[in-house]
Formats: sequence, C-alpha cells, structure tokens
Amino acid sequence: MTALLEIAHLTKHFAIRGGVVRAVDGVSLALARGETLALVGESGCGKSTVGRCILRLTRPTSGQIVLDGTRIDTLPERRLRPMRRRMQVVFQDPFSSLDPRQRIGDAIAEPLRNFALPAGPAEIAALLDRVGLPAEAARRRPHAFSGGQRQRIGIARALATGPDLLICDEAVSALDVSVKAQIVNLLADLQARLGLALLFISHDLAIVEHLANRVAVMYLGRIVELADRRSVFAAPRHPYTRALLSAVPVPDPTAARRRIVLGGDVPSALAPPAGCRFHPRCPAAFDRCRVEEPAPRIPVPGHMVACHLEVTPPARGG
Amino acid sequence: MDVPGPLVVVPVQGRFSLSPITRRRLAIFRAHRRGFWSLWVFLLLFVLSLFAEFLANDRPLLVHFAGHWYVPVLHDYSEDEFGSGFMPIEADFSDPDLNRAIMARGWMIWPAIPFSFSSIVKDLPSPAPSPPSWRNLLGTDDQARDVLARVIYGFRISVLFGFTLTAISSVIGIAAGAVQGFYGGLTDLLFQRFIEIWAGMPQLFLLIILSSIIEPGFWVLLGFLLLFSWMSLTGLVRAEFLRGRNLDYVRAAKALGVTDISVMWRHILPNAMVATLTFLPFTLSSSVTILASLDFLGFGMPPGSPSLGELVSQGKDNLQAPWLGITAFVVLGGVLTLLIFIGEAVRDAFDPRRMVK
Repeated sequence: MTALLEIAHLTKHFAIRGGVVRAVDGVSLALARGETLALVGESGCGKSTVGRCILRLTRPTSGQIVLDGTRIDTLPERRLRPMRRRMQVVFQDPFSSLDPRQRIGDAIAEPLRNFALPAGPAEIAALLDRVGLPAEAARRRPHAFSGGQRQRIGIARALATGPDLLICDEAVSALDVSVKAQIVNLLADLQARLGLALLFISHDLAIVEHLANRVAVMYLGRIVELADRRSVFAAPRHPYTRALLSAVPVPDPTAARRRIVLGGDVPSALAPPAGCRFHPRCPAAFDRCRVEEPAPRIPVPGHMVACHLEVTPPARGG
Repeated sequence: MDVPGPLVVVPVQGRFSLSPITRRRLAIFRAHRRGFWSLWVFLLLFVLSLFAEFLANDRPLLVHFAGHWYVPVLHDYSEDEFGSGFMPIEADFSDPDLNRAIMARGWMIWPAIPFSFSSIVKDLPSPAPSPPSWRNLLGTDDQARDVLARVIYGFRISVLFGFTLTAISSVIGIAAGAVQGFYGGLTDLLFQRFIEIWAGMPQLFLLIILSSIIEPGFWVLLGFLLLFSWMSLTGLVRAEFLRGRNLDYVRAAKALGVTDISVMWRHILPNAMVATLTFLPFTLSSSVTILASLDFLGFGMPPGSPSLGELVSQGKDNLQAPWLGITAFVVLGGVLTLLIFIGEAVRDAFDPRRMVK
C-alpha cells in the first residue's frame, strides 16, 4: 500500500487560560490513494482538529504529516500553497461554507483563478455538471439554493483544482436524511470516477458503514481502534467502539437491542484521565487501565486497537 | 428536496444592478425624511461652496475692456493692460481708480459677493467689526473682512478637511483592524496594547508643541490628526474580522490556497464595510469639530485662512458685535446637525432589524 497521506504522532494542543487542551494527542494513520478512511468519534474528540491540521488551517503542535512523499506540516505557507491544490475540504454547514455575496460561478472559479488554471464558463459548467447541477447555477448567489444543492456547490469548489485528497468534515451531518443519501452517493461516485482519497470525518456510523473502506475511532484525542470497515462493524475490539456501535439506531422497532450506555461525559481534554483515557467510563475497566496507558496492539493483521483487554469480540448485535 | 435538474427560473440580476438589500437600504434611507433632506441640503451647500470663487471673490467674473475679454476669476492680469497710467503689477479690481478706468471703456460682471475671504473691505462706514449691511450681508469681522465670504470659504475648507481626514483615517483604521482581527493571537495582542498606549497620548499638548516648531497648514494638520484618528474605527473592524475569520467560507478559501490579502478583501471586508459606513457621517462631523476647535484655540490653519473656528474665536473676542458669534454658531451648528441627521439615516438604513415603513 503506497500511502497518499501519512500522519505520525500528530498532536495539537491549544493553550487556554488555565491549562492546555490536548485536542489531538498522538494520532497516527495512513490513507491510500482512492481509499475512504472514516474518522469517527463523539463531539470534541479531536476529529475535526485532525482535518484542520492536515489542511494547515491550524498549525500542528508536533508530529508529521506527509502528503505523497512531501512533509507538509513544516512547510512554510509559500511552499505549501502548491500542495493545497491536492487536498481540499468540504465543510459541515452548507449555509456558512459559501460566501453569500459571491456568485456560484465565482465561488467555483476562485480556486481555479488562484492557481492560474483556466476558469472559463466551460470549466465551471463541467464542474457543476460533475456534481449534478445545471450550468445556469453559476449566475446565482447561494441564497437561491437548498442545503443539499449548496453542499454540491461546496464539493464542486473542492474538486475544482483536481485534488487527490478530499477531507469531508461532517460533510453530510447537517443535511436531511434523503439529501444526505444523495450526497453520500455523489461522494462515492466521484471517488470511484476520480480516484479520490476521502478522509471522512463523521459521527454518523450508518453512513460510515456505507461509505468507508477503513474506520478509525477516536476518543479524547487518540485513535482507539483502526481497522477495515467489516472488522470494526462486525468484530469491534475496543469497548468504546462497541458502545458507539450499540448506539446506532436500528430501523426495526421490534428488534431486541442491547445498548451499552456509557456513564458520564467525555472527560475534559484539559486534564485527560491517567492510564487509559477511557477507563472512567469503560464497563470493562480493571486496575491496570487506571495506571497504564494501553499501547496500540495489532491482534490480527490490519486491526489496530489500544486496549488492555484481550477479548474475542462478540458478534454484532449479540 | 434536492433534486438536480432545472431550477426554478429566477430573474438573474445584471452585474451592475442594485441588489435587493441595497435597494431596501435606499428605501429606508429615503423614508427617513429628515436625513434624506439633510443630505440634499448638505450636498447643495457643498457643491455651491466648491464654486466659492465664483460666488464670493474680489475679482470680477468677466471684464469687457476696449474690445477685449478678460476673465479675472481664472487668470491674473497685469494692471497696465487697463491703461498706461497703471503699474505692471497684479490688477486689484477693487481699486477705485482701476474700476473707473475699466468702466470708462467697457464693463465688468462681479460675483454676488464682491469680496474674497481675505479681501479687506475698504471705506467702511464704521470701525471694524461693522454690522450687517446691504454691502456686507453678515457684517465684517474685526479685520474688516466680509463674514459671508469667509463663511463660504470656511465651510468649504472644513468639509474638505473633514472628508480627507475621514477617508484616509478610515482606510488606515480598516487596514489596522483587519490585520489585528484576521491574524489574531500575538499580533492582535501586541497591536491592541500599542493602540492603548498610543491612544493615551495627549493629542492637544503634542499639537501645541508641534505648532511651536512648524507652522501648521492644511496638510501638516491633516497628517498630525491622522496619527490619532485612525484608531476610532479599528476596534469595530477588528471585531468584524475576528468573527469573519472563523466563517467556513473563509476557512474554505484559506484551504484553497487563496492569499490572505484576497481572503480579507474579497470575503471579510464586505461584511465589515456595513459597520464602517454607518460610522462615516459621525466621523466626518467629529473631524469638522476637531478642525474648528483647533482653529478656535489658534493651533489650526495658518492666520488669515478662512475658518469657522477662527470666526467663533472672533465672536468671543467681540461680544459687542453679536453677528460674528451668531453666524459662527448657526453655520457650525447647522453643518454638524445636518451631518448628524444624515448619519442617523445611514445608521437606520444599515440596521437589519429596521423595516420599511
């Protein structure tokens, strides 16, 4: 596997009054060309911060980010600029991700003009067509469009420079269910056609199961489990992953469900618990968890888990 | 629903037509009768004052002499062109001898007020300051200069000074606020502290010291006031940029590799402009006030220049000549009131909660 994107020991700490928030604390992952990696976890676990560090919307505190053989986390902004063409982002809120004063055509042309690429009506129409919008859309302003249409525009803008990596930061979370499905299908379709690598940041496990090749589960700034989709969903090894999966709604009111309800809240990233960060809420925690931080293990090839428990995972729903 | 396909046909606006929000703002502005009329009155006075040389001047608009045409209001002429008995010096058309010589072989058209701001009214019936008369509608000041002429020129210089000061200090203030808000963090912190220190400078004393070293003129005064006046807008613009830099479309533009300058200019500044425009009339009126107060204190424009502040100070020194004080009060008060009324209307027009009545 030649990785397009490789992140090693990425940390991002925010200094605030009264301490340091460890938003991302040692995240390592790799993403191959044409692959979809989903980054899942609760609000505040640092998923979006990872995305922003990759895009250099914020500067990582330490760690390495390598995009296609070039280390980008330490590049000066001037030298990073040509690399920006190759990684793009789609944001969560379709209502704030477009400048209300800018016509759609100008919004999509902005990245093209910025990199001195041809930005004529034909190119813009082609991009709009790629996301299923008519060419006339170019002359309107964002207020004329629905949430789903705006998200399509956001995707068209991200695709304009022909990136290799698309970071979708909760890109479908703000949409209605039916629209969500359309956008997810559009993303899957674009990925198949353009060979994009997708870093799909989400808390919506149903969509992740539909879209992702591999899944990374984050908890409090760390990746606790990283494996291909099938193993994560069918044979989760980390108690946190199991709790998350048990919370996914099942579209069958009569289905017997055993939910693992976690007590309490995510601890503050200002003062993460000693030992395993999940131990205060873990139903299976024992003494070792309170003192020793579990190192990532690879119990079966391609399946990383950071937990002291050596369990044979139960079948899903069991 | 999000069905790709033909969209509902909405009439697309041309590139230069007014957007609905601009039209709504104009409608609110018009509905604000007081501000709307103030704007027209102010514009009328301002445009008239731009042609002050044609309204109040000690040179005729047009002279017809011995079959030739002369335009003294635009050109300088030598006195000996009007007869061999005169010296080759610049013609003074208020000189009775020259006057008689020209009238003997031609005619002249004078401006409505035949005095400039600096011309001394000769043969006054009473010692200066002399009261209003048909010749000097607002009387003369204590140096026998026509008050009406001085008011016209003084209004012009006050407003031009105000406009220039407002324009330049807005540009600097917006740029400074933009940099602070956009970059935030340490830049913002240091800049904020610098502004706090800078704002603590005793402006008036510095100006007094300055005026003892060099004689302040229009540009020196402008430059000096600029050193301090740019700060008034900075806080506002900074706040707008602090908010703006976290908008998703600004983040998206940054991720697209758009340069910081373009992001600020294209995506954040238009939002910050609304707040700024609302402030402009008030900044303008305070600039006029500053100039007038400096002139009043004697640290303003060089002596002899037409100035409303100097007129106020003459009014104070010559209480026996109330036309000076009253004129100064009415003119200065009138200008400031007009600007405030305009400012109120602009503020309401940009207020998103305001409805068209």
